[in-house]
Amino acid sequence: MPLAFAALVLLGGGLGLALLWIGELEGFAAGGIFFVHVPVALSAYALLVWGAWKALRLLWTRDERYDLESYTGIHVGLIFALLTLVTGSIWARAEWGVWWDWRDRQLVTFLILFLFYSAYFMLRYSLEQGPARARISAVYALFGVVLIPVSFLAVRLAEQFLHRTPLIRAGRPDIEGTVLGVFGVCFAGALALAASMYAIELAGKRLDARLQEAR
Amino acid sequence: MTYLRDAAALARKDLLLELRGKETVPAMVLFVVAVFVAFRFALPQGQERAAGGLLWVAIVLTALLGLVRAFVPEREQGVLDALVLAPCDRSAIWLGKVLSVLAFLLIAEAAALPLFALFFEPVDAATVAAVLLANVGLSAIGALLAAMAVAGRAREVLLPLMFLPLAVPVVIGGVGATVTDDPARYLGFLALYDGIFAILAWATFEYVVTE
Amino acid sequence: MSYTWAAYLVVLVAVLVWVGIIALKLRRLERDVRELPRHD
Repeated sequence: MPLAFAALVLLGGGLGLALLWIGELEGFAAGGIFFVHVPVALSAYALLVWGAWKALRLLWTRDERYDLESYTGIHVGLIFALLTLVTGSIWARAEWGVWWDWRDRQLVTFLILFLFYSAYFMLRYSLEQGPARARISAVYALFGVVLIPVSFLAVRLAEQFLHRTPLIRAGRPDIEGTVLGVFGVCFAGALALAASMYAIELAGKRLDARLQEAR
Repeated sequence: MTYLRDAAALARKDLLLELRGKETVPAMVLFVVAVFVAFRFALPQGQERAAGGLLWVAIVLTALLGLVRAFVPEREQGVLDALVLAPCDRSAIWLGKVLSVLAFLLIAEAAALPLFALFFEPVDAATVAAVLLANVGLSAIGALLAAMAVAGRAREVLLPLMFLPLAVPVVIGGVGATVTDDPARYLGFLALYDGIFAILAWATFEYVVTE
Repeated sequence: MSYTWAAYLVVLVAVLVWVGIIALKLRRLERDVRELPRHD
């Protein structure tokens, strides 16, 4: 609960600061999105890596409780990935007038990852509950976390034959003191939101599992 | 050495089954030809240059077709459980399957690439090298994902959903090697992909098949 | 400005939807607990 409260304060405060104090970043049509899009994207990576770490622990120790933790990390990570796609799409619309631009590396990478991790749920639901499902899901989660850098690299490589015209992006916004500070607050807020959603979701899933045992 | 012999024996079993049943390879060849024909009509005048990209879509889809049934005979006859109990390293099961899938894919491509040259445009050495490299990666991830999918209820539906996003980097590397003037970096990327995912699949396969 | 607001709203709505789903789940869990057969 304190975590959820911190998330509320940090994210709300950070975005408020971004709106009031910094206003619009120079060179951006809607630079304010930077303060929500990038922290959410980084939190999505953090959650997916967390889920893969728990998956690795499961395979390593054969301790069943890591299964739910890995599953929850990926579940919340997928929500964050979806939010990254939506806010990124809004950013593209504000910046270049289109809802989707294949030149945006980050968005294309996230689309590949989103598709891959969506199949994680299909896989889980298609398997019988038990240690086999836990292990297969864990292996899949490991593949996902390896796919992150590989697809990132691939999307960068693809630019050279897909787009003759590079994306005109005003670079990363000038990271100066105040911008960096506000961004830090927003990032901490997004991480706190991720962590609290993870904790609540995990508690719910554990309760569900215990109840099924009790039946 | 026994490890390699085990894997080779398993691959040989798949090839013998295929020789007898002829279920997979003819289907793959017919499929890739049909895909070419369908693609020809997806390329209006002036767009023929896109054929190099379509070759890669055709290869990935053909590999997928070959993989869908890769572990089905084992699962249906209960052979997989017996293999897991057998006194051989479990990753040898994976290696054997990779070898047989690779062989099927090579046969299908031996028919597909000349046909592609006939229908669309000549195939250069870089493309052939990229195809050979891509085969390794596609079989490596494919054999593992097929073993995963076959354990579940929705196996035929599930495999493409897992396989295609994972194969997108292969498509990127392959198309890059086919259409650009500087294929070396794309071939390097494909080799990197093969190495990373082959090691990962080899290391994790035993967790997928143990009950 | 409006696009920035839209992005913030999207995140807010997503979190609210998630809270709603969790609340529904909790209620279902509560009901399931009540319907558990008693052994005393």
